[in-house]
Amino acid sequence: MTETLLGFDAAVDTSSEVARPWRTVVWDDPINLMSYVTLVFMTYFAMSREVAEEHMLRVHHEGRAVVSSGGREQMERDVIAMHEYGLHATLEQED
Amino acid sequence: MAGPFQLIADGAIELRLDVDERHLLSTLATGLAGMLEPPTLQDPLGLGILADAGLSPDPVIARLLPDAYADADDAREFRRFTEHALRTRKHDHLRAVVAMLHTEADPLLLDADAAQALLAGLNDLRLAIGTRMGIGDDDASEPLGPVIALYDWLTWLQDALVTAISDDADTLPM
Repeated sequence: MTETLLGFDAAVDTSSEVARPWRTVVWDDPINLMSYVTLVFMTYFAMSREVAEEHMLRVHHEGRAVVSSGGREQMERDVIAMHEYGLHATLEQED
Repeated sequence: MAGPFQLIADGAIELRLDVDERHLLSTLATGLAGMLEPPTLQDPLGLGILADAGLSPDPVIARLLPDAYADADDAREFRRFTEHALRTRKHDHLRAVVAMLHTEADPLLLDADAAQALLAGLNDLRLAIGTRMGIGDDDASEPLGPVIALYDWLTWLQDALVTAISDDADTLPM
């Protein structure tokens, strides 16, 4: 998978408390093909076809789905990668 | 009936498009690449950071370069660091599409990188045209017939490419 961000880290919240994990959310949209969304999940997140389709269907039926979770910097990279593929994605912190 | 894409050995893909189709796709890609071209930055260190950046007032650009955070301030700050590189990548995918079409070869032969560039470029074209058409917008007026036909053609083309790449992806070891 080619690098999709600049070679340095974007601004990061450096609060000292143990950080709540972050997650990448993909949002439903009326244009992207279901087959394309599935392929993006398989390609970028290395999901199997079954898992990728599960996530795609959750986006489709529920309007959004969490596709990855972890540190903020990694989630920022994932969101930018989703944008590069044309998916609408945001990152948010778990409650 | 055979589609426009044919998976051949070692992951390469053949694409069959006639002269008119190549011209049409090339024109569309050139136009969108122009819209996405990043501005020249006052950027002596080459870091690609914008002094300020916000969601575009143009719905097409806003759809291609959406906010990454729900909070507007967070989104704006993140965009300062990332939009220039993202614009560059999208612009480069579309320029690659134009380049791969400008050849005498018939059928076109796409390696894995070219197939990925075409996949991303086709998707951005569909997003751009679909957004202009107001797909998903209940208030949008009915688009013109030729625009619908164009959008449907791009959809058919992208779907065929996804199928060709997916056939290859399914044989990858997990």
